Order: sequence, then structure tokens, then C-alpha cells
Amino acid sequence: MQRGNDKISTYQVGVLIYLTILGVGILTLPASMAKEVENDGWILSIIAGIICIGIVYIMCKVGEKFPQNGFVGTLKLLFGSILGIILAIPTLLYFLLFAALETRIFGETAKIFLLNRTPLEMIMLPLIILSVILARLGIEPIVRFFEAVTPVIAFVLIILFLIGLISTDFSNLKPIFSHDLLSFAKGIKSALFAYAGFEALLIIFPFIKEPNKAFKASFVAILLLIVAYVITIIECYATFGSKLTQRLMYPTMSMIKASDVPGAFIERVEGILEALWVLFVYTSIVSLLYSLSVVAKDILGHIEAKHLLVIFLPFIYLGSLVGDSIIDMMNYGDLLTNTLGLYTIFILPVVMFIVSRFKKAGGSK
Amino acid sequence: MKREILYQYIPNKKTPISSMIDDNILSVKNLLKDCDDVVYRQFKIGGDKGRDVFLFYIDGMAEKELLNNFVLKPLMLMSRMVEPTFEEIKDELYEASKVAAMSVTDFKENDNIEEAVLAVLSGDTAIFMDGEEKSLVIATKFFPVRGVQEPTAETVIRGSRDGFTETIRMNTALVRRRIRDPRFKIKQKQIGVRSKTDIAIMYIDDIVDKQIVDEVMNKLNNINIDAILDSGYIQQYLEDRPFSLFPQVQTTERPDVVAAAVYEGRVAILVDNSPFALIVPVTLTAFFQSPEDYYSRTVVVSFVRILRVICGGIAILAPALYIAITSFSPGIIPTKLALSIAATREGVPFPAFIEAIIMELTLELLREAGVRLPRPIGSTIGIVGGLVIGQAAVSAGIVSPIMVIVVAITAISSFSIPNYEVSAAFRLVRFLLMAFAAIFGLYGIVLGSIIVLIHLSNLKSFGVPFLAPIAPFEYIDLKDSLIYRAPWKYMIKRPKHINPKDEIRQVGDNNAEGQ
Repeated sequence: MQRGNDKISTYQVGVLIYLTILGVGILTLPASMAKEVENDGWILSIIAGIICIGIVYIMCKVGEKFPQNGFVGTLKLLFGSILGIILAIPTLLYFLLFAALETRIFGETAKIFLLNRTPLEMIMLPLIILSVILARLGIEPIVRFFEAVTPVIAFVLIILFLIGLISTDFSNLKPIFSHDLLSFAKGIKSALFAYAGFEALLIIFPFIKEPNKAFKASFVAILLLIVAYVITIIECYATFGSKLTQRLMYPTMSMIKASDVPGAFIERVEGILEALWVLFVYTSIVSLLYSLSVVAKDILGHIEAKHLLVIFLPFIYLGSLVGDSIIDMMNYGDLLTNTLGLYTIFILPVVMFIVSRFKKAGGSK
Repeated sequence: MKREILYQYIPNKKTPISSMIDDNILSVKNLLKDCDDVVYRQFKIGGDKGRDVFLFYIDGMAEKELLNNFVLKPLMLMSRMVEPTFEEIKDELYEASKVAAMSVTDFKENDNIEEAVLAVLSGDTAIFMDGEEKSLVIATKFFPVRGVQEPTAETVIRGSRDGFTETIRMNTALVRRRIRDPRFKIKQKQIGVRSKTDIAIMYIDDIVDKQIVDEVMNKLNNINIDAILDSGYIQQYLEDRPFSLFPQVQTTERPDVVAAAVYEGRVAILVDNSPFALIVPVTLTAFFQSPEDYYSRTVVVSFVRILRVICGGIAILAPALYIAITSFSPGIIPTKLALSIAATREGVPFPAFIEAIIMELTLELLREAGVRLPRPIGSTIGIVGGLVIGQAAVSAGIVSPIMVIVVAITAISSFSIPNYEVSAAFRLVRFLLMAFAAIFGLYGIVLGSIIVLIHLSNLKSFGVPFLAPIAPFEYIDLKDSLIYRAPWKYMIKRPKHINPKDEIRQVGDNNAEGQ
């Protein structure tokens, strides 16, 4: 065991990636998949997951080549100081807005399922403040927190999958493979963004104890996520059918609501699940905020990351208040993923990978 | 910047012992002026013309029998009856009396007055001889002590019954009896400018992580207080976060717990006058373990450990859940139960939060009163509190019967946590969660738990994360953690999170199963 040297183990990388990706996405995923390809949604999700593993592989190759430079450091090395910083700024915005978006979507669901009369602001503000508090502490306490909640999260997921089984009718899943490649290609974008969050890997690379094992850990993490997503989607379709699923706002929650647990003491499980869902969202936000602080620190230099987060706090809050309704917010979310998201998750890693092929590895310090 | 305490009797000051015995007597008597419990004795070796000898000790702390029979008698009487005569060995009298006359085992030599006085103040006896620039210190410590008794705070059904006492020597002996290994070190030092309290730092040299010992030594060396009265003083110097709710040092009254900890690569600290030993580093899981866990059989122990974790959860969460469910989401529980709770709460004029606070504070009052009262009266508290207040509060319509049940379950659960300090921490966490539950309901409980968990994730005890082996996750250490203890023959290695130098606890081929 290492002592206070800001290094995280391979297992911790896996946990970090898993919990960063697992956020509000799983609540809406079955609906967005059903909108794109109806019954083939789960296949689409698997394809998207495999593509993500490919991108993670690219990220790891870049990271292994420059293990100590960090994200912005690598960009500077590859593209020069000024261009490197310019290329990093969209990423900064992406992390900020993505964290705000997660907070907002969670706030909306919490308002529906838990706190009907509490103002949205009052639901989101404590969550943001607590996220900043943990993100300020640095990578080690963050991953320890993540590890500590892992058993709880595993428990919640298992309960979710078991309850989801109750009112399933698997004949609802038919027919499969009823869509051509074109509609798959169209739908792949929204399927991919269900896995958004693994880009944190770019940022945390300097903190990984064994950089060459980072891919293995992330691979397992994403594999487990594919399993979780596929189970959720299949159970939703089996419960409601894909036609009905695409009309639901939060199909996963609706599925829990529709399932009556026989002989259970707890009557409305979705209330408790929603409360525990805070942990899912919280871990994602913390991880995004931490990435944000590291990127911001590297861009600005000389300022400690933890102080920067306090400066960003009001912006995250304001960002989470954009849009009057959840529909507006979802539209902003689409805009975000179409531009900054696409840039951070796909374009930038690929460009970095290609350019790094032409750079000598001796560039790493 | 080291704080210095202005004090005439500065520990570093050293007055050399002069060869003129009268000078020495004068300076000793000067130092111990108005200390009327000091006994001075002046006599001669070798009859009237013999050498002047002077000894002094503290009445009640030194063993008079030993002094009379084995120091004074040989020197004053028996030496005159045997060869060689006084005249023959006049010049080597000091050596001769040391080597041949006094039949006591424990000698020390000093060359300054202050050390001799300090030794006398700890119960020894100092002897000055005319013409010598040295003094002899004879170990004569003999003062009233409590015998070894069963520890009161950590009782077990299965396990040894001996507990630490107030005497550090007895305590080190109790531990040494369990570790017959020359590599088991007991380093002693004195802390407290005035109290000069003996502190013993115990560890096994080739198991312990040297960094931990260094950190302990470092922290102890920086203490410059006037007096250490209990290990609680030292504990607060050892903790990095004195304001944290959670103790970062384990305290125990049991020598078997200390021995087990030392065998795992931890460091134990004993303080004179305190029956509580300190153990560092410590993790949260250790507070959920009882020494008995290691003596009983695996399945039963694992069951009890699961029970304790559940109890910990109840002790923290139960009142908060009551508040959240009754005032925010009554729909979560079955309708019939929700209705019956609502019916019992109908006459209660307070919101659930106030109701819970009233009852929890009452419980805390009862507990505190029960501790303070003399034992025979203590049981009255239970009757008055439990029966009278509980029953009367319900019939007066101040609280609902469900609330009384919740409080009772909470209390019983918190008593089943083996460590007193952690269960005290849990009590305070309970109030925090109750406040959050009153504001945000179930969401608030999770937010409050996140706050506590952030703190725990950030907490370290001597470099070991407080949540280890859960976070950072250490697969091998799950054999002995919150919910499971493997049979002894499968626990091949020492806990990894303590970072022992020598990881292997036992050698053998019995690791084929039970992984």
C-alpha cells in the first residue's frame, strides 16, 4: 500500500471510471434507445460500448506515451503551448456544463420522485456544494470515497435488476434486427453519450500507479457498464414494450414503479432507489469537477486546483439552472454533446493519438 | 518553535555530585525542601571512624524491608564481621559495597544530583558515599497498586480475563507474557516536565512499518506539557484531526488486544497511571471488532459481525429515517403502517423532528446520568427513564409510541458496537442526519451520509486510510474485516493495509481452501 503519494491503483481506476460513467444516463437510456431503433436498442448500446472501449484504448496509448505530463501538458507538448491551451479550453467548458447537466437532470427526477414541494434550486445546491467539497480534497480521498460507496451501488443495481424482472414479458422484445445499418448509424451518437464520463481517464493519467494497466481496468469497467445498460434496456422493453418505453421520460424509474414486489415491506421502492441514486450522480459530478479543476489548474498554472473549484462553483450552479423545463434542459444537453462532447470524447483523443504517433516518446519528462 | 516551560527544576540542568558528601546532602535537601515525605538516613560504614554514607527515599514509595535487610544491614553490620576488614579496603569501599555487600538486583549509577532525585521521586532509593562522585540508585519501587482485574469496558465471554492496571511495569509484563520474542521492543521514555510520566512504546521490530514508529516517536518528542495524567492526553497528541468525531487511535484495557495488534504490525503505547493502552494505526473496521471475534468460531463470528454492521446502521439512521418517512415520504412504507403511525402521531403537537430530538436527548440524558450515578442507584435510572418517562411521555401525548420504539432500538443498537468511542461518534452523527432528514427527507439522509463519508475518506491514522481495507480496497484483508473472519488456518498473511514489513503470519500448505 502506498502512503499519501497521490497515486491510485489499477482497481481504483476501474472503480473511478465505472462510477463516473454511471450517472443519470441509465434513467433515460431505454427511452432514447427506443426512440432510435426501437427493439434493437440494446444491440445499439453494445455497439456503442465497444466503440467506447476502442476510444479508451486510444486514450490509454496516448497516456502511456506521456504518463507524467497530464492532459494539458500532453496537448502543449503535441501542439505547442498556445494551441495546446486553446484546444484544452473546450474540454474545460465541457466538464463544467456536463456536471451542471447531470445535476439538473438529477434535480428534476428527485423533484418528481422524492421532494415534490422542495424548490429545484434547493435540491441542486447542496449536491453541488458537497461535490465541490469532495473534489477539492484531491484524487486519493475521491477514489477512496468511490470505493466506499461501491458496495452500496452494487447493492442498488442488483435490487434494481431483480425488481425489474418482476413484470417482464420477454415476448415484448421481438422482433430484433428489424432496422437497417443507417438507422443504427443515426442512433449511435446518443447511445455513445450514455457512456460519457470515461474521458476523465485522460485527466487522471498522471495519477495512475501503473499506467500500462489503465486500459485493462477501464476495459472491465466499461464491460460491466455494457452489461448494466443492456440489462436495464432489456428489462424496460420487456416490461413496457419499446413503443411505450420511448414515450416515457424516465423509463427505468417507471419500470420500478410498475413492478409490485410481492410480500415486500417497502411499498414504493422507487423512492428509496431515487434517494440512493444520489450516490450515482454524486460520484459522476465529483469526478467531472475534479477533472475540471485539474484542467483549469494546468491551463492557468500556479493556482491550486482546490481553490479554482470554489471559483467555478457559481458557474456550475448557474449552468444547472439553464432552461425552464426538463425538455429545454435535454435540448441544451443535446447541443452540449453534439459540440463540446463530441470534441472532448472523440475528436480530441483521436487527434492526440494521431499526432502522438509522429512525436518521439522522448518528449515525456 | 518549541514551547519551554519556565521552571527552576529544568530537566537539562545537571549538578555534578561532589566528593564532599556534605555538599551533596545540602543540595539534595535544598531541592527537596518542604517535601516532608522524604526520608533521609545518614550512617557510617566500618564503625565510628568509617566512611559517611547517606541515603534517601520517599516514604510509601520505596520498599523499607528491602532497604533494611539487604542494604543497611550488610553495609552497617555484616561488613564488619567478615573479611576483608574496613581498613584493608578503605579505598575501594564503593566498589566493594556495590559488588559484594548489597544483595539487591537492580542498580543504577548516576553522576548528578538531579537524576538521583528524579529516581527517588519515582520510588527508588539513592545512596551517596563520601569521597565518591557517583551515586547508586537502588530500585526499591513499592507503592500501593491495584491488582490485575477483569476489564470493565471490554468484557468477553470467551477470552482472557486480565486487564491492564495503573502500573506500567505490570502492564508491560502482561503484554510481554504474550510475546516471548526478543524482537518485541518496549521503548520507554518520560514525558511531562513535572510529572515525568513513564511512556512505553511497544512494537515488533521486524513486523512494524518503521514510518509508523518514527511518526509516533516524533509526535511524542514534541510533547512538552507539564503533566501527563492519562493515556487520553497522549491520544490527543497522536491524532492528526483532534476535532474529528472519529478516534484515530484505538484504546483498550486488554493485554491480549495489544498483543494481537503488535503482532499485526501496529504500535502500542502504554502510559503509567492509566489502564488504557493506545494502539495506532487504527481503521474503522477495528472498532467493530471484539477480541472475542478471534477466539470464537468463524461462522458465528461472521454472523455477529454482520449483526454489528446492521446495528451501526440502525444506530445512525433509525431516527433520521423516522423523520424522513413520517414527514416527507409516508408512501414508502405499507399504507396500513403509515396510517397507524399517523394515527398515533395525531395527538402529538410537535413535528417529527422535534419529537425525535426530545426523545434522543432524553436518551442521552439517561445514559449520561447512568454513568455518573453510583452503581446501586444507577439501575434506578433505567426504571425511571425507561418505564416512567417512556410510558408517561406517550400517554401525555408528547411523543408517539413508534418514536419510543425507534429510540429504544437505536439505543440498543448503539450499545452493541464494541468500541465506546466510536459509538459516541455515531451518536453525534445520528443528530446530524436527523437535522438533514428534517430538511430534505430521504435525500437529506443520503446527503448527510455523504458528508460523513467524505470525512471518513479523507481521514488517515498514521498514514493508513481510515476506511481500509474497504477503501482502498484490499482483497486479501477481507478475510478479517467488517463482515467476515476466516478461520485462523486460512489467515496466512498479516493485514496488508497496515503495511507490515513481514507479511507472512504462518507457513503451511493449508491455504488450499477457504480463500
